[in-house]
Amino acid sequence: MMRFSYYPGCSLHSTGKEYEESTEVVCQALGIELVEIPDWNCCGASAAHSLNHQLSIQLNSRNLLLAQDAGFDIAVPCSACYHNLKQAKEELKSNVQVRHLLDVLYHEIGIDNIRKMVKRSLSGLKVAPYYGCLITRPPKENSFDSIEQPQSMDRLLDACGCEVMKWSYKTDCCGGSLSLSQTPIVVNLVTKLINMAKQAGADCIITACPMCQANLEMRQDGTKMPIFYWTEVLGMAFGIKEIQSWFKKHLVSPMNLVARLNL
Amino acid sequence: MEKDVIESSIGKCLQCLKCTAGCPLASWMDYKPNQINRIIQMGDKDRVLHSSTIWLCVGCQTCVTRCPMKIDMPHLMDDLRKMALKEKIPAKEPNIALFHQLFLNSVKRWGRVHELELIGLYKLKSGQLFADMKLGQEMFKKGKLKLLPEMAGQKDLQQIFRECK
Ligand code: SF4
Ligand code: SF4
Repeated sequence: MMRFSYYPGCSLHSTGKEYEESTEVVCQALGIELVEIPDWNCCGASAAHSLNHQLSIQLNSRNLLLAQDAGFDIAVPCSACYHNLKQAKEELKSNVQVRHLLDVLYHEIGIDNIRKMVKRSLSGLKVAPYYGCLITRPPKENSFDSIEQPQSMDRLLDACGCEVMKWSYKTDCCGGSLSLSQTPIVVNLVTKLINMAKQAGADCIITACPMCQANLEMRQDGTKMPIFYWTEVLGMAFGIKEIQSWFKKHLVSPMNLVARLNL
Repeated sequence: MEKDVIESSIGKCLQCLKCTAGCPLASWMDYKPNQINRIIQMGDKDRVLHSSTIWLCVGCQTCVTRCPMKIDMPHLMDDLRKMALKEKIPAKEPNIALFHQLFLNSVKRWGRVHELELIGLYKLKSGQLFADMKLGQEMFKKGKLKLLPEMAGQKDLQQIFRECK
């Protein structure tokens, strides 16, 4: 059993509920114990550093200290939280390791062990893996994946039997925090991503960030491309029963796609 | 990054335009990221603080990742925004500034952001009352927007917010 301090972040308790549920079930299946950091506070998202850099560092410093007390490294499923925690860790030279959940599964569990867990291959599911901004940027000495050409999610999806499409937009920006305050810009950026994924032959996009997932679902214009969390895809491949209840929470229903491929 | 750091770092800018070429928001900015550096080099900080650029930057980190001089533009943008607020310069993108401020108010009040309240307040204060109505209802129905806030870190957070004025 591997144990991590778990920082879900605000989105996983609300708009990204299905990310939280799929994260917990998949980690349990793989023997990763996630111990939620008690009384964790918001990482400040884009707002804190945008208005007050020091505030962002201090908000995250509290979470780092709480994790330090618990004595385990931190696993974070949300890319924005991951970035903020990492930024604070570096400025404060904290000893706690901050790891994206994608990194934990890819490097600690490994592709071979993931492949062993696959009960139903997802062959026929054509996916565009989307990493967004904050998984690989800014690059650090200990970055866990390539900056411009990350592969970890590609390989996990491949292990699940998906047909992983190649495309050049896997680390392009979705517009992040501008979704409400500058909607037309986010619609423009998201629609480009959707069109490029389609052109690459994908039926859906896979993300590892609740903000990207929400923007991609809500701000695509004239299309209805399903957007999955990577943990949901793993859950499908592992034959986990709860998948239906995750998919019901999506704003763009993936049910037709799932039914068409008999998944 | 404070004033002297900003100046010494920006002094290294080569005007190679790598930042601007990769910036997802560049087409909407009144000054492109490389131009921000040039204007600061020429000593016209005021123009930069009045720009839409500092508000449109989403901190995607593409520029700093590709900059041959490793100039940390997103951090610079953070500091420029803070300066603009301190000097009470009206934001060229008022809704973006408003959203960030309301978000922080929510974190200060509850410890974790309360989306439903944040969206409601944002609509009221921005005047965009009817934007995304259907979407909001859909999210509420699916249990993605909770009625009640989650509370955390009350005492510590009051102190953090006091100290980081
Ligand atoms: S990439 Fe760096 S050096 Fe080149 S113009 Fe931008 S800030 Fe200046
Ligand atoms: S961090 Fe800001 S300036 Fe740099 S590329 Fe992203 S949006 Fe543009």
